[in-house]
Amino acid sequence: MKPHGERPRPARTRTYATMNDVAALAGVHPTTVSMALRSHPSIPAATRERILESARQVGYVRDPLLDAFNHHRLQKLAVKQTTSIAFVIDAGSSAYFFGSGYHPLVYEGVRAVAEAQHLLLDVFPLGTKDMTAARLNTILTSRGISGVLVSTFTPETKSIELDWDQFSAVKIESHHLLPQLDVVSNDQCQAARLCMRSLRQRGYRRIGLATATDDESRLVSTFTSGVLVEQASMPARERVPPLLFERGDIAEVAARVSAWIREHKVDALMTNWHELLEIGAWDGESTRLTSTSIRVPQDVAFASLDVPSGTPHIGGIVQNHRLVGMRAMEQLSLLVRTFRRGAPENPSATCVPGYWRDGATVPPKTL
Amino acid sequence: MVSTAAAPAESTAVQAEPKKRAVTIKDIAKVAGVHFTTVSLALRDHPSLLPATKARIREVAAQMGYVPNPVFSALTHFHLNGRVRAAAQRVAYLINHPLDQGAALYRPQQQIIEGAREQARALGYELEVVTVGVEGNESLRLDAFLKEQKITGVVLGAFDPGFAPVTLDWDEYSIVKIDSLHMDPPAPVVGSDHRQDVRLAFQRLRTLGYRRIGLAIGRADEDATERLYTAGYLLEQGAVPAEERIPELLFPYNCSMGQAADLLRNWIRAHRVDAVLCNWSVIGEMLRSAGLLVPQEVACASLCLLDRNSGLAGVCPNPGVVGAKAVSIVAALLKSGERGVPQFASRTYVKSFWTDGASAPAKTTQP
Repeated sequence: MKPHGERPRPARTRTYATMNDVAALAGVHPTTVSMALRSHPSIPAATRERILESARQVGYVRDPLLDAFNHHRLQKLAVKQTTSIAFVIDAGSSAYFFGSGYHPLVYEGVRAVAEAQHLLLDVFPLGTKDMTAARLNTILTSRGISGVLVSTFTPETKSIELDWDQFSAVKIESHHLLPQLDVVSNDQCQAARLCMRSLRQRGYRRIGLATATDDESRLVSTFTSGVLVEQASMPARERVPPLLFERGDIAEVAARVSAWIREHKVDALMTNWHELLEIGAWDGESTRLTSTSIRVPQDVAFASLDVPSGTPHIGGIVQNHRLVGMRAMEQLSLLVRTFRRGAPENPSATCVPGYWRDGATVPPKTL
Repeated sequence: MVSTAAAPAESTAVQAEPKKRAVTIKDIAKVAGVHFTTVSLALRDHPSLLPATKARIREVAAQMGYVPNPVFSALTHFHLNGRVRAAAQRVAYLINHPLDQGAALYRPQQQIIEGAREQARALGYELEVVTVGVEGNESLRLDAFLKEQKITGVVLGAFDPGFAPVTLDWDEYSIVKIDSLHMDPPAPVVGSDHRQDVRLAFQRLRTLGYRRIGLAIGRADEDATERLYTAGYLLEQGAVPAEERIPELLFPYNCSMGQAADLLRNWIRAHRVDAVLCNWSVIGEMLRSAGLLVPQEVACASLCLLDRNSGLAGVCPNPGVVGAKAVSIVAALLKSGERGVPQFASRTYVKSFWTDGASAPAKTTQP
């Protein structure tokens, strides 16, 4: 930083519009202006629009110093009024992330950003007997929580019926879930593409993707799209058709996968399903595909599309779950700060890339 | 319900001060054995300190639970700027061609800038549009300009190819790019969701009764988007009968309109294409100059429809939302102090919407 003396003084020294100016123009009390700018539900939408228009006319902008002061002052008061964010998680989703520290890592990222920005985080598991969407709506409203971060939900949950117009919200991963909100997720298309390229570099020529149909709907078919686009620039003899199976009993799934491996002479299996691998059975050199005699990596290499933590022998793509949580919380914080409530007209999807990690389940192929 | 407000680790290696007051940089300095100004430099990631030193000090700060005091941050701002109301921090929006030339062509760029400007205001920033590269290599001057103006947030606008690229000392800036995936630096990107655009258009044309839908796309655009168009196209082809899958047509680099028309005509005849999807908005004229009647002989839809009332069917991008999203991401990076090209750059795709048009009416011959 330069010494103060060298710092050029800003050229503009105009006076600034305050809420009082906005109130004078709109013909309302300054507190009404304040409430309108915060999209307070007690102000009718038409009035709010009119006041926002007046604010635009007089060129009102928030004062960062006062913002900071208010934040500080409220912390000292007996009744704290810190902004709270609801982190809504799916009570039924834990089975979907077998072996991966997915939820804890996402949560860690979310919490890191929330703490850095002085936001309180409350976790609400949704889908238990006691916690329905209607009840959650009541709780959020009565607590004055305006920011909702929707965690990964299973495909069984098609939508969450909250009064969304009251909330700023961002979803993590669940593209299938209504309403359509801004989504932050791992870049599954990039993960599949990077995985295929890395496997090819290591000498594999019959690389196959196996995943569950409902995983693909949850992720808008991104693994498959990555595989197809990579295959488009590969020789035809190397194109293994992806296997999409229905979620079900793991022995049945494994039977389908092993039949497909034999039929298509797959030399490297790419999947996000760790149940397919007998993880605990690794003896330093080899393990098997669950309930089959297929040895890994002797008969087929195994590349994970989401390498679980604590399994150094598994090679594949490591996904940045923590970063997904951070990016989601950052975006939500901005929506809350700018009072963007409700589902956006044109939602966006932010994708966070993963990286390749070598492992004994994917050794370089020797001829 | 789980309440998750800050739960500091009790037994850290570093002996924290009594919990009565907040941790200050002087506390950190004592523990780390450095002067407190060094702590300040380390927390701001100042280049004058060794990375190892910075990492050590940041580690100590993290363990002690240091968070910047918002009031002092604001006061410092006040102190440095010499008045109560700080001038809004600015975000630079770089473009490499003057906006006043070819107004129609650059309208999307202008809409992006409008969206960016509005979002910047909402977040308390001001957008500064900077035109570079018009007179050749201006990167050095640009660097000097941004430093002098104390601008650290930079949006790289959708750059026209054929102009000199911009090179800056990227480590000094928080950067987001619009569209150009391929262009240096590998920073976070915001753009239209080309993969979903193709899927949306393909599905809509199927609903309208078309059965031989072909994708015609510029090689340059495919390379610039890392084949996102193809990714969407291949996914949709997987959902239709094999005999209805048309191989895509790629226009080579620097393809003239005449060449493109010839390629289109031959491809349409060879594959009996009944509807053409193209990312060029002049697809209607191209087909007419190829001697084909639209929509009697072949229907068409644009994947980048700039004028909704042109009679052309297609997918309309949302340039305003793209601009707003880019500024949001820069703001999040500025807020968390992330500078330079990140190890894992996110990609944000903004959803487009479909518009019916005379160039692709519902097919009447369908049963």
